[in-house]
Amino acid sequence: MSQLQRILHIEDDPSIQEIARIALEVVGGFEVKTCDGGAAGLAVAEAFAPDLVLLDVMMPGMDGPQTLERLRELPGLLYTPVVFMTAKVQSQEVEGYRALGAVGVITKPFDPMQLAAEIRALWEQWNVEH
Amino acid sequence: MNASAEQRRLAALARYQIMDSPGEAAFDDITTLATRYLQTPIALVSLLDDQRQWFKSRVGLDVCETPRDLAFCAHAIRADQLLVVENANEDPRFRDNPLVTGEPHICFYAGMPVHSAEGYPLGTLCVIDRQPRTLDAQQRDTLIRLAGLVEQQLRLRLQLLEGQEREMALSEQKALNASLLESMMVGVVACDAKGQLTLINRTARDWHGVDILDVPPEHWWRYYDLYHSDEVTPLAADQVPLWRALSGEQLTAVSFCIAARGQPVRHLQASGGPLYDAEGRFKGAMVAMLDITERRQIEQMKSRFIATVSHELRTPLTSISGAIALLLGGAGGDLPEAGRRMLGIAQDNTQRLQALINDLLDIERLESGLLPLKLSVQPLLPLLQRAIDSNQLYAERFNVSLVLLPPSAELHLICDAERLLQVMDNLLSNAAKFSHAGDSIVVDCRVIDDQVQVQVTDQGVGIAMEQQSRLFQRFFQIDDSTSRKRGGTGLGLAISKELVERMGGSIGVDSQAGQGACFWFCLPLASSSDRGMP
Repeated sequence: MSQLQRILHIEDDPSIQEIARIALEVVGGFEVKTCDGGAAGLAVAEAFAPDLVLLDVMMPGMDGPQTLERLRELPGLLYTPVVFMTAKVQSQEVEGYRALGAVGVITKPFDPMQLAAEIRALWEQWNVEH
Repeated sequence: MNASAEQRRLAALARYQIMDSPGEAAFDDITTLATRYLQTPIALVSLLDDQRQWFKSRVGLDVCETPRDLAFCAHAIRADQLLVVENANEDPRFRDNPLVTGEPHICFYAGMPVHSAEGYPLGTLCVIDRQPRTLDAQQRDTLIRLAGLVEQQLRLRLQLLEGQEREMALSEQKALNASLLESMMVGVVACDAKGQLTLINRTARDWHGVDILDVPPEHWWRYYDLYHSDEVTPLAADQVPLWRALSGEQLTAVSFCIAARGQPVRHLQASGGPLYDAEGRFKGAMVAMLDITERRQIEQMKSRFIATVSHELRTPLTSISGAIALLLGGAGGDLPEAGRRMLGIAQDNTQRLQALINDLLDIERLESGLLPLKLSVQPLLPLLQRAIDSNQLYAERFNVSLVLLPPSAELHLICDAERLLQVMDNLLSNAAKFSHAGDSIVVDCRVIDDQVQVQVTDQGVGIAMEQQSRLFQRFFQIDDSTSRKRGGTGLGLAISKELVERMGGSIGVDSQAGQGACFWFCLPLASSSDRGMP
């Protein structure tokens, strides 16, 4: 199993960007590239070559699911696991996001001390399944 | 006859509307026959009001009325029987009467009272001669029978009048109904049993832009521009509300649209059903329609507003709680003890804000019907166990223990498992909050008919009777100084009530102040046939 190292975080809110970056870099020890929207994410995705994409669902302009669709058009990101981040969801909505191709959903507000562990767990589960 | 009896007699007379009415052949025939049979020159149908006697029919007399105080008839009416005066000149009651001393020189009088249907004497049929006379038994009998004919004639007149009045009242009522229908803001349409349209009131006419057309029900949707609530899909012929009502269906608040040419799309709610006459015969159908376009827009705005506000509130809250958690977790370096305490306070309060936003969003989605329920057959015991497990930590904060008394038999119920757990969370956390340290909270259940009742019983502070009915209202919180510090959003029980009712159940509380409370809810038991479903 390859190591989870590089995470691309696409999120429009600067404060949440910062919290997630600290949670993933300081607490989780990952390398994080933060983008403030779908377009910016698409622009850097291939060059950064993330192991995993953490993608906010509700964003102005291109939203999370649309961004995911466009990411899949990039050859380097055809199989990269994507985790959605969204406000309180119900179990049936999680199923909807999975159907779009997400490996998991992190609900906001998230516990930043647990975020890295949650993402690592989703990563490992995805590795087992693939 | 006393004064009030006379009043009733006059009222009875007035109902016939006969005074000063034109002559009628039927009455004239009777007076003519009377003069013939009784061989007198004069015969009268005399009616007595408060001022005068007036002759509905007269033979052999020119005047049509005389003052009441001169009238022989007044005497006959007072006696209320056949009055025969053989020679008025010798009768002390009449000999000074100007009708005796002057024209028409009455000498002989025989008058038989005629009565109203209720028995009030209204007047007489009388015969008069200018010379003394006697009546034999047969002549008396003839006069009485002819008076009977006058009574029958009067009765016919009354029936005719009443019929006319009924008809008039009916047509007035009809006109009133019609103007009411026309002036209503509600659209009303109706058809007969064959599906021929019979009514489209003004409001409905304005909405459709057309009046009654001679089109069969299959084409109503087309001619009246009827669409589904999505504004674009035409209603199938058999989905048209009036068609459904005509097919025997009772409709309540059925939503659809009218998209008439040149008008904005109108969203409507239709209620109605088949029409039956008094004998239960099918007569057609009627539908009343309410314009809910504006209400819908307001509701949509409200929903969007709440969704937006919730999102906008949550986003900064995510950062605040995230920052606090990172600091408390040491991601920002070591913290002094006072700093930790203050961050702890900040963390508690962001959690309260989050709970409030979640509850608000839940209740909004419940009320707008946007919260779908996934009903399925569930074994009850594992659900209750999960509820106890997930509230254990919370209960320990209050030093309260949770006890589950398992049902004697395995019970299955129909519910949305996640939502049932949400209800249990509310009841258990409330019970813990309002318990005394060291108390136990007991969860048990029992079967009542085709329902299962789950009870959460605490030994806490209890609820006064006058507060119990308001307990399940939104934002209601028991108002005393001690309960304020127990926290909560005031929405938990309102949400629980909505959830339980949406799952086809009921919820309530039994309590007395100071003696603990028992919160319960009932949900339908799954029948053995339901158990086959997933």
